[in-house]
This record gives sequence, C-alpha cells and structure tokens, in this order.
Amino acid sequence: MNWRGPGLALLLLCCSVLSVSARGDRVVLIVNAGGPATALDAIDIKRLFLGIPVERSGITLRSMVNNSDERIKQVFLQYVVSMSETAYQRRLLMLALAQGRSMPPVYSDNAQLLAAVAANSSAVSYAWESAALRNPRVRILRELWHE
Amino acid sequence: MRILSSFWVVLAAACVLAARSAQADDDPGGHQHGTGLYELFASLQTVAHDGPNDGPEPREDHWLVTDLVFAANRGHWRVLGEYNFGPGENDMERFQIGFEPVPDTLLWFGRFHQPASAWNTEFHHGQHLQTTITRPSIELWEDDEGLVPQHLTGALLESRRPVGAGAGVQLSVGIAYGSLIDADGLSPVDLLRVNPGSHRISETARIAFLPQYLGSSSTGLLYGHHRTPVLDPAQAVLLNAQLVDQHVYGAYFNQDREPWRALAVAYYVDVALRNEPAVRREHFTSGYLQLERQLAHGLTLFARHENSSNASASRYVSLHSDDFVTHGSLAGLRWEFHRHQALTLQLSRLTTIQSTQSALRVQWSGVFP
Repeated sequence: MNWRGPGLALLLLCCSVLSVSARGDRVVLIVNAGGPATALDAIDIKRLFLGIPVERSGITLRSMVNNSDERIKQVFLQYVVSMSETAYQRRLLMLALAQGRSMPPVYSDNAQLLAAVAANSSAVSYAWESAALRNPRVRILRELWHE
Repeated sequence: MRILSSFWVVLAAACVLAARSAQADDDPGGHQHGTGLYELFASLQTVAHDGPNDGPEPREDHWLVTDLVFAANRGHWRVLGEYNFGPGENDMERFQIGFEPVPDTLLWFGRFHQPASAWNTEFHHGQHLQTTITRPSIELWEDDEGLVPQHLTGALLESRRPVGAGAGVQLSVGIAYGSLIDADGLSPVDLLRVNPGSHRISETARIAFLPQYLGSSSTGLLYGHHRTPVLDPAQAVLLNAQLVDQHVYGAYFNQDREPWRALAVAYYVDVALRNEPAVRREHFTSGYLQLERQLAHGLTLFARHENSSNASASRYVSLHSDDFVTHGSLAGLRWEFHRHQALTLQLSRLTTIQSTQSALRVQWSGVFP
C-alpha cells in the first residue's frame, strides 16, 4: 500500500489549516480608517484604556473595550493593561472617582465593536486580525499579541 | 437654605443627565463630543460592639451610605461632583470645575478633597473602593469628629509627569478656604447651606514618586497648613483659643502589587492654639499600616494597625475628638462576589482616648451601574 500521496496531501492540509489558525490568533490594535492616529506606543495604549486622554492632530482618541470572547478579554488584561480584571475595574473606578475620567464603553459583540470603530473617527480598539481585515473602514495600527 | 439645597440637587441631576447624554454621543457616529459618567456607590452595614458609645455615630456606621459621583467632560474642560446622601447625611462633598491644558495636568476650582490625605485622595467617599469598612481615625471627615480639615474650597492643581522609563512624579497643590470650628466641630465651606463667612485660607500639597507612571502605587510626602477660626464661644473657652493654627506633615507608602497591597502612613500634627497674644503649642503623631492579600474566589484578607503618640495630651484632640483612636487593630475578610459587589466582615479592637472597644461589622457595598 502506498501512503505517500494521501499522507503528503494530509500534511499540506494540516499546514494550511495551522497557517490560517496562526494568522487568526493575532490580536491587533485597530482605529478608524480615516482617523488621525498613525502610531500609538504601549504607554499611550494603556492610557487610552484607563480613560486618560490621548490626542492626535487635536482630536482626543476614544478607546472601546472588546469583550466579545473570553480569550481576547484575557489577552487585553494581560498584554495591554497588565492587570487582573479586578484590578482593572478598580483602577477605572478610582480614576472616575478622583478625576471624573470616563470609562471606555464595553462591547460584547464583535460586529458591533467593528461598526463602532468604523463609524467614529476618534475610536481605538482591538480585535482578531482576521475580523479586522474584513472591514475596510477599520485600519490595523499594530500587533498587540500573537500566539 | 431649602432653595439652595434644591438648586444643587437640580444641578446634580442635570449633570447626571448631561453625563448620560454624553455617553450616548460616544456611540457610532460620534466625533468630538463630550463624555460623561455617573456612578452610585452604596453600602449597607450593621455593627455590634461592647462598651459605651456616647459619641456621634460615625458615617461608616450609618445603616445606609450612598454617594453619587457624576462628571461631564468636553474638550479640555470637566465638571466633577460627589453628592453624599442617606440617613443623617446630605452633603455636596465635592463640586469641581476643571481645566486640563495638557494631559495629566488639571487645574480645579471648587470644593475638593485636600491632597495631603493619603486615604481620602485614594478612596474619597467611595466606600466600595476601601477594603476595610472603617477608615483610620486620623483620616476621618470633619463631621465624623475628624481632626484635620479635609474639604477645601478654592483652587487645586494636580499634575503627573513621566520620569525615566515608565516612572512618574505626581504633584498636587491646593490653596483654598478651610474649616472653622462651630458648635458642630470642624465645618468646611458648605455648598448646600448658608456659611458664616469666617473661613481662612489653607495650603496643602503632595509630592509623590510613582514607580509606574500609570500604576496605582506611589510613595510621597504630604503637607498641610490650616488656620481654623473658633466661632463657637464654648469651644473657644475650652480650647482657650480664637484660632487653631495647624501644620500637618506626612509621609506615605502605597504599594499595589497583586496579590498584595500595602498602605502605610505617618502624620506629625503641630497645633498652635492662638488666643492673641498667648499661644499654646502642642503636637501629636498618628499613623497606620494596612495590609491586604487577595485570595482565590474573590476573597481578600485584610488587617490594619493604628497608633499614635501624645494624642491624649493634646487639648485640641481631647476636646474635639474624644473617640480618637490612640492605638488598635482590626482585621477582616472581604468577598467580591460579582462585578462591583462585595460583602465584608470586620473585627476591631480600638483604644480611644476615653475607652477600649471591640466591634464586629458586616457590610455590603456596591457600585452602580
């Protein structure tokens, strides 16, 4: 019995699937395609998601939290704000209480989040790369995490 | 007085509505609209204790405490208010109008919490944010027999600047009207009622090092100078003073490194009881160390020790706050069982300048929405 042909095909299929999977496992920072933000460093990103103003071209950027799935939520907490969920919520409350800082709106639906970013020129958020690439009104600014 | 009160309630409601409207503007289609927020802090508690308790019930022991925080931001301008209400309480604790010329530098005008308190600038009136049910004696509010004026009305500058790679420095300076002493004790400028108009200027400041610019840990120095006229004739006789000239020097260490959290504070308070030309000087120290350890399942263990020296010998302390804690400890367990909801059990044994008392407190606290 000759297994070489089907075996090679199976291997190629696995590689292809893994490749797509690997691409899908990137979390990227997204902004409105026509928005003013061209670059944001890690400190600016953290400021934004704590509700502290960050300006670009005279426009105050607005962050939106993506809680559409548990995995992206954990990536955000670990790699973007570097806090536990309890600590993040507490920090937001403290900043609201001390200085009236607004808390970023939270989206639990990915499509709604992308629509909100696409519609608001000052919006900044994050999403799976595969989802962001499907929306031409959203621009990827940088990678936040990859597997 | 009733008209004034109604005015502020209407203003608070207007700000909340503005905040709601501004939040709606954040939705798709929004560009450079304002933003806003409103948060309601609420807590229910019960306390059982041994021994006598003749003094007024501290705010934390009221069966219900509610605090509405509201803010509206537009461009570089912002409005922030904190309205505390419930049984025995009805105060506009803070009402500030702020201008932020550059990010993280704010100039506020209005009534604010003085920056030289390590505790109150961290938790304000937000009961849910402070892990313990009660606050240290030296950090008590004026209407809870507090010894240091905490609410000032005037100007406050707050700035936070980056230093090196990731660290920062925080500077806060407040120049504002402080308190006076009337029949109720320390009375700050009241935004809801008529004021007698004899308040004098206080100066307060804080400088702190932030190991992480955007973190919550900090270490710093505190300074306050309060000139407090004594308007109540009975207290003026007992204190033998027309003016209490108080200097507060403090240092604090606030380390927030999950799962641990530590807050250590020490104050040296110098009091000059002035009855010109005579001046009687006295001083006392007070401090506390609070440790917290997060456990699994939303549980947090906490303990605090308070101590002081020379407080019993101070005429100002003994006349003004006979429930001032000279030393004592407390410990407890807090369970955060849902987003912004917590149950707390606290046991304490505290010695005041009059007596020693043990107490058991149970509290639910939460924040809405």
